[in-house]
Amino acid sequence: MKKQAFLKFYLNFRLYIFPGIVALSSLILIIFVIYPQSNKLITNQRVQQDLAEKSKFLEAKASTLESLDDTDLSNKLEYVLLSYPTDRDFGNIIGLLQTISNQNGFNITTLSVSSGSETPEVAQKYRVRLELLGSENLFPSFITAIESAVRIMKISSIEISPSREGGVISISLEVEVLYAQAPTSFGGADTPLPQLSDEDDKIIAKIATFGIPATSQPTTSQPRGKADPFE
Amino acid sequence: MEKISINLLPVEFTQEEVKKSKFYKVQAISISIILILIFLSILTISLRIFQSNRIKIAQLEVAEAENRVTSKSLRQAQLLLLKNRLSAIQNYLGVSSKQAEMYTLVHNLLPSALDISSVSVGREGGVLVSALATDANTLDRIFTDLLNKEKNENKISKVSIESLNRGRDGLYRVNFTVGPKK
Repeated sequence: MKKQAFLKFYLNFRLYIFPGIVALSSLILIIFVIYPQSNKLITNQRVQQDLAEKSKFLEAKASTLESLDDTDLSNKLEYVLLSYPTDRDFGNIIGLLQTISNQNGFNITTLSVSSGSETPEVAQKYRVRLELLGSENLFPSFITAIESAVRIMKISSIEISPSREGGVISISLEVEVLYAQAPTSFGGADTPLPQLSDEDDKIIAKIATFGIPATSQPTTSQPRGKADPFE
Repeated sequence: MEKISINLLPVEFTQEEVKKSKFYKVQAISISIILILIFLSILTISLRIFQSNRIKIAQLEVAEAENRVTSKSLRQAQLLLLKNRLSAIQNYLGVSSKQAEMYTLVHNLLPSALDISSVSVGREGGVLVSALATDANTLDRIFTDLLNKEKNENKISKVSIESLNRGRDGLYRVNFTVGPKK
């Protein structure tokens, strides 16, 4: 009886019931399937594009890194660190200043080194004070030689007075020697690689023409004596 | 003679047929709509599955490329340090300090007739000169040259005479300071 009443009800109002059910089903399909899937498709399209760009960038970076020559890179870095090292290089500086002084006709009577600025954000430096004797005519070329040396140094103060010996002046010179700590982080895989410009290559070539100073070359000593001392 | 047609069917039957016809039309449209929506649902789900696979492949490619880059991290560090140093060296190499520049400039402008007792260049670049001159013309020439913009390359801002006196020997003893342009 119930079934017959329901059937009769449906047959009387099927013109409204059937499209109503279809409309409800359509809404459910749209709200729970079509709309979220379409949104996800659009979002994932962006993700796919980002992945494609990242892959392209990493491929190019990997190719560039693999094409670099280890020896060439190490040599360039060695030259550059000679010019602007990561730490104080007292031994190297003392030898270099002595060499420059001798080449320009000056004698160092006193040399003292003091620590300088420790601010890591700017170029760090320490000071070297030199007391010299030499000819006044040669002094301009001497200070030019110091400031144009491959090792980065700058004159910070000069005091000149005549010495007791005729024609010779006494000079008190303060030189600032620059260095800078190496960065603590060198970035990750996403860090873009820097390009070396023509200007950079010229600087490296200029530093390289001076070669590695004798004071910083490793000294090897030949073994002496008998190979077997009990013979 | 005209034909006469008489509809013997009851009115309710006709109405019932009209209702049926309407319903069949609505039914056809509804079924078409639901089939289209089902098709769209299947299409979007298939595209999502296809896209997910492509994203997985792209992620694998990215991971492989990242591994290649990470395996060369030492070279990357060397290159970054090299560039870091070169950028700094460019600012210093071949560039004279103000102190050296001022000394060289003043040294070149002072006449040979002037007997220089002492020269000192401070950390700010100011040059203090103590000298002996035989006549006032020499002194005049010194200060004129030092203040001449063409001769001093526009690098000197001022010249201050700290002291000037003339001794019994007729010599002029002068202490003067040359200030650099900032």
